[in-house]
Amino acid sequence: MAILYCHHANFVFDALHPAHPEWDDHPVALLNDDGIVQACSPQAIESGVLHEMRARQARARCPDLRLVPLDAARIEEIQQAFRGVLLATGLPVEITAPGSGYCDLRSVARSPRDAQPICADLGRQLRSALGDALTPALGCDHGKFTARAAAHITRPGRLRVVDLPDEAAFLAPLSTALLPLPPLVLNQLRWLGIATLADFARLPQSAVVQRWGEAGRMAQQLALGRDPRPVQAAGAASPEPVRTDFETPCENVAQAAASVRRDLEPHLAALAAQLLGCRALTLQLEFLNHRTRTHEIAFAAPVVTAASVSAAVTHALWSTPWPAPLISTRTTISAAAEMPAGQLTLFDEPTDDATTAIDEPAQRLARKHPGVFFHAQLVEPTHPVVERRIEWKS
Amino acid sequence: MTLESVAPAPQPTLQRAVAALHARYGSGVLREAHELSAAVPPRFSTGFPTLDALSGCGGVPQGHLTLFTGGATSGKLSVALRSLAAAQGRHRRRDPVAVLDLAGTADPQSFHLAGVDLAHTLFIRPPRIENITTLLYDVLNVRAWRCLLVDGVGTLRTSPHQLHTFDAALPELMRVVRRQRTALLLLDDAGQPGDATAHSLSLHMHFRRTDWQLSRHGGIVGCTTRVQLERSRWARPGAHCDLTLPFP
Repeated sequence: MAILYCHHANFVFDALHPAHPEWDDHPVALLNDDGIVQACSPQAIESGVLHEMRARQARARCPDLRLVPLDAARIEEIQQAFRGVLLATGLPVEITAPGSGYCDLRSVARSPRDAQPICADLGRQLRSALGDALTPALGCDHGKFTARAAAHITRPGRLRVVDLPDEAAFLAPLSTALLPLPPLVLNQLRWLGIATLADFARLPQSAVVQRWGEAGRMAQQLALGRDPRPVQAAGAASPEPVRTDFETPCENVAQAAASVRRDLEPHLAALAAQLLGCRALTLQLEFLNHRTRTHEIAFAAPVVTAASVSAAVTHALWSTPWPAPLISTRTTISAAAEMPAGQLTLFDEPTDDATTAIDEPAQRLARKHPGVFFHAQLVEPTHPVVERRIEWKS
Repeated sequence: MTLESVAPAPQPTLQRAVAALHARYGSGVLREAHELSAAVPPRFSTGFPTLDALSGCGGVPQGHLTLFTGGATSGKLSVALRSLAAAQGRHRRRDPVAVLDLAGTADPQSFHLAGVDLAHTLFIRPPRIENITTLLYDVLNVRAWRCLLVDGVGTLRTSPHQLHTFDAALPELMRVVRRQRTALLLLDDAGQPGDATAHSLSLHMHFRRTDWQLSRHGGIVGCTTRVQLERSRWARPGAHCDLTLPFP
């Protein structure tokens, strides 16, 4: 009974880098057709460039950034080679991201220790098929989560096998960032000082459920090494399509996007409860003159927040010519995948408490100079009216 | 005659005195003037390597007064915002910064898009410009800000009394700035600073927009700016560089 996880931290960039020696030591971001960052070089990441940023945002963070269109066909070709090597084993395989996926070894090995030669052989096959630059890190355990954690803390070209008796000791000191939870929840854990899986596992279950719901409960089970999730060869099940009909034909992008967001929110919440996120979305628009338009939206990493999905939908709506007012939309979460683990080496250190850093001096100063000191907060970053976009707090 | 038999040449009096002081108080007690001028202060990047190189000290110096001048849309605020983001740090513990918005035009979204962490930014928006000097003095004293950005220094010129007060208080303000190691960054539309400001300045850069950057559809997506080094304690003035500033 063993599960193998293959992982490559920056697969898309590393797959294209060998053909572009001019990218060496330069901050580079690879953009999709919509101008969204899909992958970037380590130098760009160091400068604060993140996946899903727009080109301008990325350039604002890193003025020397080279923006390069993503060669999607080449990535697909390499991904097919990766998938081919895994599928050639004849075992159930679940691809979670480019260059990453689970392989169910339960039918050929009783324990992770028995699976060690098979895993090593698979790793060698992947290296010979993809090249040294794309050599994956491998993790093997009884459950998916521990296998993934093992792969994340292992260097490329290495295999980390965790046996059942060692599982708790192995997981205990690892970062909570490995949990497949939304970034907001991971930030909350960090703010609360819950840094390791052992810290998280020690929390009262009722408190975890109260604060983070079903997703929190499942994550706590994972932190304890209890992961009953099977490898899903067909990928994670996607929810049913969501249809939004407008009572009066809609001519306003913001209104249409808000309706889609409202209808999608329960489905995203249901995915989040299973520790999954939306990886691709199909948006079908039907107009008053019975013409239809279809958009395929792919995310660089699975997302669960309605705001991220809404931003992508809004962009798609803006970039589509409307031949007539909109009468309905049909949104399908076409691919769902496990939430990615944080990149351990790139984590911000715990930040200063803003309350002590800013509020305390501001309060002292406000006694002498009342009504002068403010915090600014972005309430609705995309709202065209400044007063709605920003909130000033004294 | 062997070399050993030759007596050493007598040292000049100054050198002997210096050697005696070094022997008694350590080698750091006396330094030559050229060593002092080359000492580079703590600083943070402007976000543009070429501009950092132009400044002579590698960015915006802490504990000193820096002035960016240039007309509207010249790009000085864009560079100032990126400097502010760099002052806060990205991957380390965030340093708090303060913004004195004299013009009342600060747009937090621009700050956010430039990478400034709003949670660690204190905005100071006085309704009137009276007592600006006292306010500035109190803000600088209350804690060690890594950077204090003053936008709209030109507003002070609308009141001769305030301008006079500011000029008179500048030496005292600079003492606090040096003690706290705060980078005091002023933005001014006027090309030439006042006498008192000019006297206290360590770094002065003038911005002039030379061109707009247009998208395929003709929309403005950025600008090209020429930055002239007017004054620097660490480099010869007169040098210039061109920057491309994409709008976030």
